[in-house]
Amino acid sequence: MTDRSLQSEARRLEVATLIALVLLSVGLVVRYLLLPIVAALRETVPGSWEFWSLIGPSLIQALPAFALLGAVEATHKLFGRLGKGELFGDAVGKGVRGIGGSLIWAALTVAVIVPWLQAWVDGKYGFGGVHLDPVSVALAVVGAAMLMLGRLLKRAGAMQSELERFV
Amino acid sequence: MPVVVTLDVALAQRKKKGRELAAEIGLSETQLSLLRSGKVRGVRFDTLARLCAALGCKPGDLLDYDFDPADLERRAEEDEGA
Repeated sequence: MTDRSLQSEARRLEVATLIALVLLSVGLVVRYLLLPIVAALRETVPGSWEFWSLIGPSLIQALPAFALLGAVEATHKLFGRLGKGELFGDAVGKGVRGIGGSLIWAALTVAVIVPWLQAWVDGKYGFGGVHLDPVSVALAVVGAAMLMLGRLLKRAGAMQSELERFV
Repeated sequence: MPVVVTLDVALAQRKKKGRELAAEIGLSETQLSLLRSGKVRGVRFDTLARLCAALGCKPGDLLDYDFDPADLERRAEEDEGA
């Protein structure tokens, strides 16, 4: 695959991830914010404790999805850079590390943050424990791999600069 | 002492402009300018072959070197560091 065909594929994927980003954002806002607010407005007084206790759990459950949205956004930016011809180097490496970081955040929210916050909402104050499941483990492992890949790409960029000093 | 690029001499002897030579051998003017000033890390053999073909010369006409024992020490240090 030539650089040009890589670039044009990256530009197509940039558009596809932008569409995914918009659809996901709208979906998440509707699913975890608007619908719970509408349901809560039917049953309670806005701003009351009961109102927030109906919306709160939904917002907590949304945290992993918003972390993954960060990964999609980082991927969209990465495809943008690749589409402009930046195949290696610091910026691309940083972009890949950004995706890895978002995946690890998502894993942390699934395994630690959501159970902790949920425990507080349920009145069980204190650490909610670490809840390992296949999703959080897979997210953490793939996230770590992306972090390493990002460092490799940075190294590749340095090697490319070195090669460019040969005419 | 590093290897010295004597391309300027060869160009002057043949009354050729750098821009012409760059176009002939498929290098950008920037790359040729860096080569002429010795600011490159190295030269590929195929670039050297194209230069020789375009200028009608041998590689020795484009590169010069005076022996310096420090060059051997530097290489030994690089090998140790590797």
